[in-house]
Amino acid sequence: MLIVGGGVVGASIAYGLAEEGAKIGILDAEDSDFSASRGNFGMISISNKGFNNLAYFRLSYASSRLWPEFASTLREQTGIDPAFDLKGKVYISVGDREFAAHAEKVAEYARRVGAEYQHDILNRADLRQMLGNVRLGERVTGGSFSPLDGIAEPLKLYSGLLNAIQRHGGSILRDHRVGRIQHQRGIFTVEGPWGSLSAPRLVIAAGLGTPDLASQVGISVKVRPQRGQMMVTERVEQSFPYPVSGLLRQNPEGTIMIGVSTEEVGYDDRTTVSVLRSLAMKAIERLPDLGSVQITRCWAALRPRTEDGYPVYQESHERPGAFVITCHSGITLAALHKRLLPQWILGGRKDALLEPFGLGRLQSASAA
Amino acid sequence: MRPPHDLPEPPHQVSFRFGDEEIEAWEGETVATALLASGVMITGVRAMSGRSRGPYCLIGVCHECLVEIDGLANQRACITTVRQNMKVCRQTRLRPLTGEDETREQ
Ligand SMILES: Cc1cc2nc3c(=O)[nH]c(=O)nc-3n(C[C@H](O)[C@H](O)[C@H](O)COP(=O)(O)OP(=O)(O)OC[C@H]3O[C@@H](n4cnc5c(N)ncnc54)[C@H](O)[C@@H]3O)c2cc1C
Ligand code: FES
Repeated sequence: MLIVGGGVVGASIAYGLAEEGAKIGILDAEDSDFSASRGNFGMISISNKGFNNLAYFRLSYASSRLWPEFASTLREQTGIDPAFDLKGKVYISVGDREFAAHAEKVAEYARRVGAEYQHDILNRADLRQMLGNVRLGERVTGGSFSPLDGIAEPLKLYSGLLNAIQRHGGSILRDHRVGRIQHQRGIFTVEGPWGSLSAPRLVIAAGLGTPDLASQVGISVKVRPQRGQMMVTERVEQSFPYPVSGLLRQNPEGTIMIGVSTEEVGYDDRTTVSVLRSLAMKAIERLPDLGSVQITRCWAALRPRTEDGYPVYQESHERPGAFVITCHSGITLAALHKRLLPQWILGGRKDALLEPFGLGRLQSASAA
Repeated sequence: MRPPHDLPEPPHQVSFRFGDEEIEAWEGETVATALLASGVMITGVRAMSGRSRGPYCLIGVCHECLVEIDGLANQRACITTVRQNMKVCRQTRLRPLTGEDETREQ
């Protein structure tokens, strides 16, 4: 079985397949290629998923429930700890209007999702208590806390996955960019300047490289790049115990990550001072003590993003045995991908959670 | 950086404290080169692992050379120029986030 694309998505699937006993090879392009898996924020985000699409909330939520076992198995098998912690996440609102809108959205979420949606609105005093020693900005009016969310260390996760695949006998072939896919008598042959390889089953999980490959097995899918920029600071004492939605997290060794922008700028993964400055200002407005912390590194990466923002799990009708898989929250969904995709790819049934995410859907709603 | 040998005038000597030691240095060089030239290899202890650290890249990239200088933690010895009478300490703890704002140079 061949998997084209060795990012977190391809690697999560490959790990599951290899554990099921499948003989797998991952073909990945050059190290210099775009790689969201090497530049992301590492949040397991649930409480802000699928506002307009309950199936997407359920999918993400199911993954978060699978994450504890996924993380501990990975640690036991490889010795690499992805540092998963389902500790919850704080939201901080600035100004009365923002706080009111946030509270209304949380209430509406709870109505739509039902009892599973745990998310509490906090006034300024509660928020202060929750965040411990760190000072709140003067304009912070309140916020909320959801215990549904978690964090992981994305690079540990990624290297752990690659390690686990190899331990289960899988091979990872770097500098193996696939250019052409041929199909003859039930066998797929993938080709590149490096040569060719054949197998009866093929998974295309190549991030931004997906559309071109998918079209060769008769699947038309659009994936566009969406830039995210972030910064990491010097190491400081543990200062706030929970990640702050979409903006801040402190790692165990003390560095603070400040992110993450969402920009439509095509295939440009450079950082810009204006965007980084506005991220830093947002952080300081909420937690002013961060003003004295030095930034040590910054970077940008491109998220592979489908047209409507939801994942795509599609087998080719024209070329059965070829599967196209892409999504924009590959960390959140890693545990679910490892658990639920292999049985379907190996010829079993497609889990009900995955059903809504074929390409047959024709929805105009955009993902949260 | 150490001064070149062919300077028209000999460079000035300065001295600073490293813990209890008095370290002699050349004006214009960095804290890291002065420490290394005096035989100091270990400039800090990583708070989480307890492992010893010392200057490594000498160009400000690796953050292995962090020391406390005049009460401020997280100073890179390899990009900080020596000053007469500065007080340098091995860094053994993480920098506190609060309470340093007033003294910190921005
Ligand atoms: C700034 C930022 C922050 C993010 N934060 C989060 C977060 O907090 N939580 C979360 O869940 N997600 C987050 N994401 C999203 C997450 O990183 C992505 O969903 C995930 O990494 C996508 O993985 P992937 O394997 O699909 O794509 P990629 O990581 O892009 O990997 C695709 C791989 O396919 C290879 N490839 C492409 N074309 C070919 C070809 N023709 N032949 C062979 N190989 C090929 C590429 O070289 C690459 O290695 C974030 C993303 C960014 C950019
Ligand atoms: S020695 Fe590398 S940053 Fe100072």
